[in-house]
Amino acid sequence: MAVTEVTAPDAPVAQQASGMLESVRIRNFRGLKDLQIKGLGRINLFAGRNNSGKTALLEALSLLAGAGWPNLAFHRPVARGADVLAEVENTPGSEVSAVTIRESLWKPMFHGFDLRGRIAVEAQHSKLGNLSLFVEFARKKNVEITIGNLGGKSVAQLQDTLGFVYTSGETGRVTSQAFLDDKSQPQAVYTGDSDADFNLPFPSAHVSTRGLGHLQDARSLGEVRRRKQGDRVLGALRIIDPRLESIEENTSSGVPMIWGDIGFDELVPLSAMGEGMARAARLFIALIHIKGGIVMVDEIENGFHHSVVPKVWEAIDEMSQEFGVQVFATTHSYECVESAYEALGEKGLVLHRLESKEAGNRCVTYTSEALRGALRHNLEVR
Amino acid sequence: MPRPDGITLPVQLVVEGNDQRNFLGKFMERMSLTGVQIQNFGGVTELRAFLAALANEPEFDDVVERLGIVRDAETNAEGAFESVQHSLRNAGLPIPERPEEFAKGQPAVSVLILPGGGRAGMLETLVCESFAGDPVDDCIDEFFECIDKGSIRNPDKARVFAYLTTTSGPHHSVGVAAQQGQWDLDHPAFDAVRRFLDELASGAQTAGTLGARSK
Repeated sequence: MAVTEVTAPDAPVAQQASGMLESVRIRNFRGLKDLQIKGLGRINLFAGRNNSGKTALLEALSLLAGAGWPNLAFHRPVARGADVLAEVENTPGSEVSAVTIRESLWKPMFHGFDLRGRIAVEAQHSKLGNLSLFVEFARKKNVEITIGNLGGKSVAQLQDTLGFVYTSGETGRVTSQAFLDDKSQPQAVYTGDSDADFNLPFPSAHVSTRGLGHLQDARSLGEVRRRKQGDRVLGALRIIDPRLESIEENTSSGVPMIWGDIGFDELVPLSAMGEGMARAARLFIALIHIKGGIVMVDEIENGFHHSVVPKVWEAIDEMSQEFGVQVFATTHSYECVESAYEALGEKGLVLHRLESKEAGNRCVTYTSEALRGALRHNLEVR
Repeated sequence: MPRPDGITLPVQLVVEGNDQRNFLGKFMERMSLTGVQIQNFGGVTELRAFLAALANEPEFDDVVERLGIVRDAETNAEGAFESVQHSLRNAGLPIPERPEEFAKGQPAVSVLILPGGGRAGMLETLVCESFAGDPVDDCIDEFFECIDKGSIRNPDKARVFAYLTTTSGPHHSVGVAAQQGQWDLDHPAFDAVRRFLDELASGAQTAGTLGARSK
C-alpha cells in the first residue's frame, strides 16, 4: 500500500494546522456530479455501494489538500490512471503523448468524461474558513505565461493544459498549470503571482491499497522516529503481530526500506510481513506523520483479520486525538462499521453513506442516535 | 450476528417486541396477507433510534410505500401515541394526527396503540377479551381471588399466563402461543388489529400485488 503525501519533496511545505474540515462539496469530479457532505467529524467512515463515489471522495480531498499543487495532475491518487505513464515508459517504442495524458489521466477526472466542465472541491474548515479548488481543462497554443518560480516570462507552446485555482483565506489565490511541453515532458508550474513557496493549509496522506514506494515509507518512518514517536508505531503494530520487536528504516538492501524484527535471525522487509502488517504500518505512520492534517484510507478493513479490527480502530482513535488528525476512511464491511462503533462510540465515529442514483449523488450522514439504532437492531447502513 | 436483511418489501410493519412480532405475523397469515416485512424495534425506549435508523436504510426511500407502527398503550394511550409521533418527527417521517389513521406522504404512516380505541392496556388485553367467558376464565377469576389480587402488577399478562397453563403444550409467550394456534384470531376483540393490518397491507401500489391478500 502506498502512502501518497502531498508533502513529497517537491511539493509545497504543509503547515501543521489545528481544526478540521466541517463540510465539503464536490462537483463534476469523476462519478460525483454534485455531492455535499455536512457534519464531518474527527473520524469519518464512508459506506456505500460500488461506484457510489467513495474512492472519488478521497481523491477529491487529496486534490483539495494539494491546494493547487499541479504535480497532482500526473500522480495518484488524483490522477487515477497514472500507471499508464510507467507502462508507456517501459514499452519500447512508446512515448507519453498529450493524447495519453488527456485520455488516460485527465478526461476520467471530469464527470461524464466531459472536459468542458469545471471540477470544484469546496470545503469549510473550522480554523481556515472557506477553501476552494477548481480545475479546468483547456487547449492552448502559443500562450505567453509568467512562470513565477523561474523568475521571468517565457513563451511556451502548450497543448492541453489542466489549470488549477486554489483559494483560501490563508493563501489568497493560487493558480497553477499542468501540461506537456513541446518535448512531451510533463510540466507542472505555478502561474501568475503564485509562489510555490506558500504553505499548504494542512498536511495530508492518502493510504491506498496499491504498493508504491519503499522510499516514501522509509522517509515517513524516519520522520516519525525523528519526532521520537517510533515506539508508538511499534506498539500499534503489535496489534497485528505481537512478535514484532522493532522496526527501522535502512538502506542495507540498496534502497531505503522499512525492516522489522519478528524474532528471525534477520530483519524482515515490511512488504514481506503480510499485507495487514504493511497496511497497518503505513496507516499508523501516516497518523503520526500527518500531524494536524487529514489521512484518507480506502477500504480500511482490507488485510486485517476480524479479530484485530477493533484494536486497530482504538489505535486510530488514540492517534487521531493525540496528533490532531482527521480521518476519512471507506468500507464495504458491516463488521468494520460495528468494530469502529465499538471502539469509538457514537460520539467518536461519524458514519456516512454515499449514494449515486439517476437523481444524483447523496450523502446520508447518521446521527449518533440513528447509528446506535442501526447497529443495535442490525439494520443496514451500507 | 447475521448480516442485516435490509428493506425487502414496500410495506413495513414495525412492532414492539418478539411477542407482537410472532402474534401479528400469525395474524397476517390468518388473513392471508403477504408482502409485509415485520421488524422488531425492541422496546418503547428504542423506537426513536430505530425509526431514525430505519429511515436512513439504503432502500427506504425507493422501496417503502407504507409504514405501520404498533406498540402497547400501557397506562396511557394518548401519551403512547404522542411518543410515537415524536419519534416519527425525529426521523423525518410523516406524522399521523390520530391513531389508526394514515398520514399521507412517502411513505404513508399509521400507528396502532394496543389495545386500540384510545384505551389503556396492551396486546394481552385483547387476548384476554378473546377468551372472556370461557369457563377457564372463571377459574382464573377464582384463582386471582384466592391469591392476593392486589399483588398482581399486570393483571392482563397474568391472566394470559394463567390461561396458557391450561392449554396443551403451553408456552408462556403470547406470541408463540399465537404461532401455536392457541388464540381465536377471528374473535371480534381483534377487530382493530384486523382493520389496521388490512389497511396497511392493502394500500401498497407496487406492481405484483405486493402487500395484498394472497389468493
